[in-house]
Amino acid sequence: MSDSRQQILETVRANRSTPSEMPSLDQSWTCYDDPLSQFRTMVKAVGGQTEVLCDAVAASEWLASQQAYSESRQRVSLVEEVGTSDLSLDDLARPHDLASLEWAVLPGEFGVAENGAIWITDRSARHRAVYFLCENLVLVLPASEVVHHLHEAYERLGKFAASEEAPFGAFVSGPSKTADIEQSLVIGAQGPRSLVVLLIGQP
Amino acid sequence: MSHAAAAAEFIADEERTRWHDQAVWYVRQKRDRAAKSLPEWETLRETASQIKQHTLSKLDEYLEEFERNATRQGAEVHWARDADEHNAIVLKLLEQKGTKRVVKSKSMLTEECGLNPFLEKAGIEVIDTDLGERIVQLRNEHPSHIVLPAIHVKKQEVGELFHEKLGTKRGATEADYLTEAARHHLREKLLAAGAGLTGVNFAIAETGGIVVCTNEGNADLGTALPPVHIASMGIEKVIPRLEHLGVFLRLLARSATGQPITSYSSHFHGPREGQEMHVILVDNGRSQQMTEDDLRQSLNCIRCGACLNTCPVYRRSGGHSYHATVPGPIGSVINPARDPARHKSLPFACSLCGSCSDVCPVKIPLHHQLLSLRGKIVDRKLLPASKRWSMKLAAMVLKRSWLYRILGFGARCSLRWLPRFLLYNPLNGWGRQRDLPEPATKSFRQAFRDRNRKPGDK
Ligand code: SF4
Repeated sequence: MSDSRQQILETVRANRSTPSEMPSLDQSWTCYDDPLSQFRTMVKAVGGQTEVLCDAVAASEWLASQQAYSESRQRVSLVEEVGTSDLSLDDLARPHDLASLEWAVLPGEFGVAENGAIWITDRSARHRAVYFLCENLVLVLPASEVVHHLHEAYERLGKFAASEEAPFGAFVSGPSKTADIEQSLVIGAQGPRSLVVLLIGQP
Repeated sequence: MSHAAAAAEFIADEERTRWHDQAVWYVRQKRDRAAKSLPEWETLRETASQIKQHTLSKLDEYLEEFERNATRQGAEVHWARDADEHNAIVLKLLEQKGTKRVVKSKSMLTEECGLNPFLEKAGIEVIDTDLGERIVQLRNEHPSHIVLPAIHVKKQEVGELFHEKLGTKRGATEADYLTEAARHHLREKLLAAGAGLTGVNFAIAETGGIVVCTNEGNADLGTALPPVHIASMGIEKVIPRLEHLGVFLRLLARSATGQPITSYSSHFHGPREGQEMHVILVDNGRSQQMTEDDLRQSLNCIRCGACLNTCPVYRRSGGHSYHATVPGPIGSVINPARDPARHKSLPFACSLCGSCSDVCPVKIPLHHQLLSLRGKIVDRKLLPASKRWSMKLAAMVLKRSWLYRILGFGARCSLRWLPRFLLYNPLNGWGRQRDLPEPATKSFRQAFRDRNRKPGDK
């Protein structure tokens, strides 16, 4: 095995191209006058829904007023004061037991205006499968936490992976989808069938 | 089989050819709209190209840095020189875990290595969890496109296939219904899997993490449930820094499908609690590809598929006509670059229109590479004799202006008199789909002289 390592590295070293500079990412990337509204437009464009609410209590009330949510049998929330939990993630030994989870209300860290993506990590979830296995996903984040574009996003994430134990992180843009059958877009491939983004507070 | 012969089979069905052409062109148009929506598109392409070029100039260092950091994050890194070694590593890991059921999310590399048949022979069930890949897997086929594996399959065919394999209603063709059936089937497989295999879109040297992009979320489910995650990547997938993802993720989905970003862009740094994570770095001809200056840049490829979607030849001949894991313009470069004898016809499956180079998000000069590969194939005497001799003949004529003049005169006369069967016979492959042009009455020299003759000159 280590032979292969050495052999590959040696060939690669021998075949290096002429040195070339690493380009600067300090460019004039497009910014938006109103990143929050751009973010909301993009979430809609990728098949999601957004609501701006003044605080956690209002968010919780909004959720409770949604029939599909209030009438469902299995819900989980990892966001304080928003939504209810019918089971506790920490008590589950295996993520597989989440297979019939209908709603998950989970924290998002920030949104990206250019593409409607929300950065999530599994810092607060014992089983990160909860983000992908639930039928309907609700992400909650402060309305003030919206960056313009991915460059700004990664600037923010600079330290995320430097730590010894970097969490799992992902950009989530809309619900799970596919267009693999004759290019017809179908929402709800293997993961969540819907995505609601609750933006709390003032931008 | 040569590309032309395989393509002839595909285009025999005119209706399907037109349908395929339009389906693929539709994706190209979506890409155009997405690219135009960003004023900095060209800056992004240029930056991406420079990052890749820089990376290749120090690839060994970045690979080692990646290995160091991935190990620090708790992943185990393996190295494989070729497909066989890669497959053996995967099998060994699975055997150590005693698992017989594996789910796989999209990975052109495992396709390249022939991993599925290899594992199946060892009694392991491998399920492709991307819907398009599952469709081609159930059809016992290979993907015909690197991003849209089942772009060549019609919904009626999916309906029949699912009726037979998944028990859906006979005659069903609605994408919603069929996707729903696949959802249940695939979630069941995902929940039962003992290991999850994924490809890698980007590996970050600085952090030791890998990034996997999907729309369906299948890579996330396939790694969040089973106790083992095995990620296979070509050595060219490594990028220096985390921040470089900003550039590549902005380009990737827009170039691929016109989406602003894929639904899921997941960053894995080591295993989750109680899980094992393995990353296999695969060479399989890549380091050799670096030896040739004019072909090295093809290692920049981020597998977006844009060059396939824009290619007039790909659109009208279908992915399977290339007989290679990666079809289209990029496939016509990397396959013959690694195995010229086997893929010698591919660089000729190209009109040199240059559209591929124009759309490529990492600025690979694809059509220049295709041209230079043609030269290499000629040098190695890999062309069929008919082409070799006709080219030799042409070169001989073009080198001698007197001969050229005589033959030009002959052609101008004879093309008018000769009966059709003499002109359009099996020796004239060019004339199969085309008519020869109406011969000019004067040669170019003659016409030029006449034009320059001043009035009054004799
Ligand atoms: S060569 Fe360029 S356009 Fe073609 S798949 Fe690769 S990155 Fe995309």
